[in-house]
Amino acid sequence: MVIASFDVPEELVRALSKGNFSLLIKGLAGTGKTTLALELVRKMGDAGTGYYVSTRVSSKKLFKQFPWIKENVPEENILDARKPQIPTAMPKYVLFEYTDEPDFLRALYAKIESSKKQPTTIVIDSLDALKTNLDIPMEDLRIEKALLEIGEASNSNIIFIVERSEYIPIDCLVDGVVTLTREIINGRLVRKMVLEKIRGEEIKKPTFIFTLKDGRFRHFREIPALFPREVTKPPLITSGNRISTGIEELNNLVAGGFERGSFNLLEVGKEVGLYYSWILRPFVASLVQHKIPVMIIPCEGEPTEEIRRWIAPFVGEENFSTYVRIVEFREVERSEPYIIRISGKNIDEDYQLVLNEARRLMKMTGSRQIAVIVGVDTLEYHYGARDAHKMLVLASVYSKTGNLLVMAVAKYGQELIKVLNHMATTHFKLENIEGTVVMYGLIPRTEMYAVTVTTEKGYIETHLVPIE
Amino acid sequence: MKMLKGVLLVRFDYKLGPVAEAMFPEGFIPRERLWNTALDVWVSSGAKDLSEAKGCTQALFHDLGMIACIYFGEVEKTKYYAIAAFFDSKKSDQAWHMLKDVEEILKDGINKLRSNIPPDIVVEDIYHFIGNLIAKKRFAKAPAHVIVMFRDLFSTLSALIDIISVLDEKSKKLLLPIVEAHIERLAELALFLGGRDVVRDLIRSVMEKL
Repeated sequence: MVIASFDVPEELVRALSKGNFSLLIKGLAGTGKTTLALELVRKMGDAGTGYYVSTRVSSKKLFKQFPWIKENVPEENILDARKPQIPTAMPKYVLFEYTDEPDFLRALYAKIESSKKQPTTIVIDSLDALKTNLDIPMEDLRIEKALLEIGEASNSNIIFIVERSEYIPIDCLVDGVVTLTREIINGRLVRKMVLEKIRGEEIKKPTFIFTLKDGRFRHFREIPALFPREVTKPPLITSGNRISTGIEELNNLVAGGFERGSFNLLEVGKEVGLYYSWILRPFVASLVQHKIPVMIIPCEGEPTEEIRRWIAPFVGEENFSTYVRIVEFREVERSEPYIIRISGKNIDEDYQLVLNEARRLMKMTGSRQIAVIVGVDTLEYHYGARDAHKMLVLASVYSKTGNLLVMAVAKYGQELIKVLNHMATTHFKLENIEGTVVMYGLIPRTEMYAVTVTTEKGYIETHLVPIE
Repeated sequence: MKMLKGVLLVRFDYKLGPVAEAMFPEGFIPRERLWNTALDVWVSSGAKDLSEAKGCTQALFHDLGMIACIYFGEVEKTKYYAIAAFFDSKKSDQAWHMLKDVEEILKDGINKLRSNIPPDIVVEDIYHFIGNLIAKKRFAKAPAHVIVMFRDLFSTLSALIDIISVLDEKSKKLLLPIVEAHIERLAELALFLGGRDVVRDLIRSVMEKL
């Protein structure tokens, strides 16, 4: 499985598509409620069929923040219900005047009745402010019931937005409830969406991570990792004098690419499994494309064949056999040019063997650079923590002489992570949050990114999508 | 055969890895083995989080015929050190019995590095403190930081006497008995805490000036 990004949850789209569906979006300020509501409006209707009753922002501000909504919710469909104190220069048709509850409902109904197009979705943003403006106590549900009746009469969806996240009486009245939250995890912003209830829809997975990057709502969910039907060569992602990570966004995080002669640590958190390989595969492919040989000591449980299967077709079998070497600790019958066998019993002998092979590979390919990807758990398993530590310190020292790039992959629970951090040029961590694999940098410090993968274009494309 | 072989201070350098920053006595580890020894000292940390003090680690250095008590510490953020006291491996039993006291002395060494005391002085001090500990002098009964405190006090008093000695006779007559009384009281306190011989030496050096 891989993570992909989507706009609004399909469960909500299906429910709203049936028409006359009432949805409550809950969450504290800044959690993305308006963005989600407007994305749903956009998804639902044709041009001019969305209505937005605003008690918080003017149409000018709304369009400035969400310019993409103009087509679905034109200015005349934005009902400014802010009760401004200062006389406004706004066109009469935009200003939505009311003094009490019946007045408000009459005005809203008249607005909908007079429109040329059948409304599909009406957004009330926010219900709390509207009730305050109308002097209606929060526990009094008259206005909610009346609005639901308007929805029913006009066969349109009603989306209520409230500035709270706890249970409130309206939860029982509406067909669907979504709660949005923003949390700080490891000092970084994480946005979560919980599908609390969607009448008529099965909720297989209730919680998702989402982002509001560029003012758009995008959430992340798992999809099967499909090998492309037609394989194509990935485009070359260059990075000047540095070594490309094969992932554009990651290159940007490390000043254009990994430093030549650097020790890089990739920490794999709990329940991330083999997902780290979606970071490494584009990296290896990029190295091969740049004609930089690479030696891989895979992590425990990562089959050599799987590494080959997801890299060789994209860079060419011949290039793979020329530039890639995979260290195998066990005796296997087959003999492939890209496999090096070592005993795993004597660290000094094995170290020498790998070093000789690295020198031979550099000579053979005429490269002055070499990269080594090493599974720290494999080293620890075969040689013990102390010798594994020693080998990694040596690798770190040699790497900084300039022509060796090390990528150490350390897994959750490995104590060595604490000491490897001291020598790391970069240190990134992968974590699983609500089924989404996210990545963030400790060196350099970065915000949280969702790691998405697609093979739609015929090659592996890994992206880091910032959670904003 | 000397039980204490020497003290080695290792600093972890981002580029160079573990570097032998200072040792005392000079040459107790042959130069050609220094890099490897520093590396072995460093990897003895196992997987300690060096930002927290976690006590001593013991490691056997077969090729040197020594065992070491190693203390790791973060001196500043991202500045990591290991101080290793090396003992004759044939006397590992005795070293084992002193582990807690050695740990205190090494820990104090890390604190001194934090106070910007030069590494050469830190290792030399550690060597002498552990040496005294082995010799079972009473001096060693006082914790290392108390000894340091006394030494600092006596050197301050010594400096004070130097200043008084250039004053006029009237001032001298007035001030010297006060300083003398303080020294006596401090000496009593020092003797009470332990370290009779060294305290006596320190007092003597001050009294000579009076």
